[in-house]
Amino acid sequence: MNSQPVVLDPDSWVRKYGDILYTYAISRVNDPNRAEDLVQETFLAGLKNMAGFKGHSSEQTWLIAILKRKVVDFYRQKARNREVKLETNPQRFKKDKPMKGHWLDTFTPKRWDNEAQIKLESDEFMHILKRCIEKLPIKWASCFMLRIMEEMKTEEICKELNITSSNLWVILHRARLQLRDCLESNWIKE
Amino acid sequence: MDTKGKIMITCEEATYLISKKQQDKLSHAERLKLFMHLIMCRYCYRFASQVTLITKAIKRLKRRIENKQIKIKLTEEQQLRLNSAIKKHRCD
Repeated sequence: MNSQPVVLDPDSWVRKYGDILYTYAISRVNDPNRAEDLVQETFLAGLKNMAGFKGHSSEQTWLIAILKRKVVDFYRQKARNREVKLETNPQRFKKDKPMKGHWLDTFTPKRWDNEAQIKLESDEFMHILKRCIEKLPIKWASCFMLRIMEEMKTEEICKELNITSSNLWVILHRARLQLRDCLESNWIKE
Repeated sequence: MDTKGKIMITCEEATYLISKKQQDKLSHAERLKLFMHLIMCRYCYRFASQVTLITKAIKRLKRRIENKQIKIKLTEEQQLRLNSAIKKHRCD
């Protein structure tokens, strides 16, 4: 099939892809200014690499791929040189026998009604999720964003953040525990 | 979290397996242990269904952003700033 070669047209980028790139960025970083910066960096990187654009993908796909890389860099830099502090996690489970490892009464998950699912499917979810991720220790948030949102491979994340894979699993688990708590107490059961 | 060699696991271990299950396959032994725990423990059962709901919600959110069903518009000011940055760098 002979398809038309895609020609890049930077003058139309903001008009055509500005909103979609901005939405992507704002769903990943909490600060609107930071999101705008990421979009700008994406456009400038695009300009610089125009020669590298082979037309295998659409202009939009190409720009989103650049933005994705910028988001990954953003979280990698945030997490760099930070110790992994696992003890910042509140103790959720009993420490002493005979009930060692069982939920502490204050931390048992509450019942969610049908309303919860409706809330989770609403557009508000994006904002609450970001707010809850923001409350995680930086390294945890980075692990969560790279693994869950950007779907980077485990080995890649371990290399980028300089952690072991078992470390990553524990971090993701604790991040989930905390995230569930945060969603429940700040939104679903407020 | 190592649960080798035991059949009965604690809530702490069960939640870890629930979490792991969100993105990785559990071994047969792990699946069995988790199952045994979940039929006895309503809190972990609850935890499992809630974490699954959250995972689904995140996937849905990502899909909706990709499909442009969620769109956050740039303000005019932001558009101007971005356009002038592009212009400036094109001339360089």
